[in-house]
Amino acid sequence: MRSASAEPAGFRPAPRARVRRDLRERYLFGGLFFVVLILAWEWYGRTHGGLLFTSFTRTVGELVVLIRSGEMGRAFAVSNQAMLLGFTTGAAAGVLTGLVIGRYRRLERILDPYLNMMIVAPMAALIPVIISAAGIGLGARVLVIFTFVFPIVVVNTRAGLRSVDPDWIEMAGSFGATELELWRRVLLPAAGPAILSGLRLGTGRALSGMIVVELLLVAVGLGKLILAGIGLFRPEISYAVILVVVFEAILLMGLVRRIEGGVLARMGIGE
Amino acid sequence: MNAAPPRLISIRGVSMVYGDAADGSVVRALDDFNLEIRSKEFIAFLGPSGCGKTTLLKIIGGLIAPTDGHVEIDGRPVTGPGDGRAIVFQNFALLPWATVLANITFGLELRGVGKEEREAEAHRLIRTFGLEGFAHSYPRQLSGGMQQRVGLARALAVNPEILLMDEPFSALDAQTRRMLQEELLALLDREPKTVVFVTHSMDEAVRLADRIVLMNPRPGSVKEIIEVPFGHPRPGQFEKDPRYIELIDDLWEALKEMVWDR
Repeated sequence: MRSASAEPAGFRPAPRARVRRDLRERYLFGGLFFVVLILAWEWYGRTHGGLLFTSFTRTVGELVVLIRSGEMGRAFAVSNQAMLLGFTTGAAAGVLTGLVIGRYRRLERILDPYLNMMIVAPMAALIPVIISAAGIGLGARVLVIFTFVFPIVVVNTRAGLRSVDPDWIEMAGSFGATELELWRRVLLPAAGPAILSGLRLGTGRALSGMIVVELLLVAVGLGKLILAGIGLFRPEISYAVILVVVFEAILLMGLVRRIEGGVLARMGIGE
Repeated sequence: MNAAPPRLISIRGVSMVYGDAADGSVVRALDDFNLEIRSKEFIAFLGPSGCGKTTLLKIIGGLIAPTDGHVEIDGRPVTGPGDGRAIVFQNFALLPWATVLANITFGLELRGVGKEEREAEAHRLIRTFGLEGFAHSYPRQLSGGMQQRVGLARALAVNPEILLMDEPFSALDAQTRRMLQEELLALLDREPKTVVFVTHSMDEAVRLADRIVLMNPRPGSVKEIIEVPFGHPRPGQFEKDPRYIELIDDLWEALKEMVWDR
């Protein structure tokens, strides 16, 4: 480097001591908070539990029973089949729609009200429509999960494209980039992080959609188990299912976040 | 009669109107702009903001089409961006997710130059601009001056005959700007090119250009074309030459008038 000394001397990673302190904070305080939460649940369950609520230990006990009998596994498989289909279709359609309306503003002005409607419309009120359109089988459940996932993926993808600096588009144009090359070299890399965070949020939405549809529309799988717990006044069944779903959500979203982190790091955009 | 030097860029009656005549939101950015730019000449467009100098640069670059008139390069009308021209942008326009190396090779990659060849060219430019050791850094890890060196290297990588520079140093601090001006001049000394340089700095125009095109604002048109009385490379301490001081004075008087006129 031959010019001014004011220029930074390369990139310095975070000092190791700080990384260690961050990790300690995360696990120590995070773990402590978790323990407090579980203790509070246990205490409230024991003092106020009954037909509608129960303690942590009874819930875990029931969870073990349900897993051993295979009932949890079967319910889990049934529910997640719809979740997987609904998520993949919703995410794919959402990314495509977001990319198109993010790039072609005229189309966006036409479609925006419908997108907003999809975001705010109460699903419960729309269930009759879905039943009449898709029956009460797998298709209906997939459709509901689709409508849970789709809007949030669209909104994030579109936001990603909006973050594209017009200078980059102009720059690519000045080197003669075609529309296809522009997408490949500028638009998609620029929107990538936002698309990934849309997919992460979409994962969470897919899981809640999965349970909502089974509670309100088609009583199968995990939703049916929750309903059974309520109907039989055995709250430990319901809470065992909720534990499983929450655990699944943490795992899946953590997985997507890891992929996200890997992609961002490869693109040189640290968190 | 001596043969005139080849006229490389001809700007013929270029007008640019933005907006919609229907709702009256019309902005006349350029009005019947005419100019001949010679090969290997350094032309500076100087004018107050809003005089359409950037618009004109983009028209020459083929990024936008004029409402009227046209630009010819070696007798062929410009219909779009293409080989032979490269733009250096005011805000660098570097891709933040790409390394210095990948940013520099951006244009070469689009032209289908093989990996080995384009990286060799990039490394040559990295050495030219003193960016050694930063090939795998990201733009955000560099200072503004180094970022614009990358922007320059990216433009030069495609070996353009015409370099179009849109206020390339205006986002930099004074010292860094001087440094880059010197580097640019040294570079043009080794590899002469036609340069069209947009600036609002009188000093920069005088320091760099062979001819300064002073532009009227709204709509932009040629007010005056001024020959800079210093050759390239500039004589040492030419800023102390009375002609330099006089030139800056004249430019200031002309610019002041325009700014007050608005």
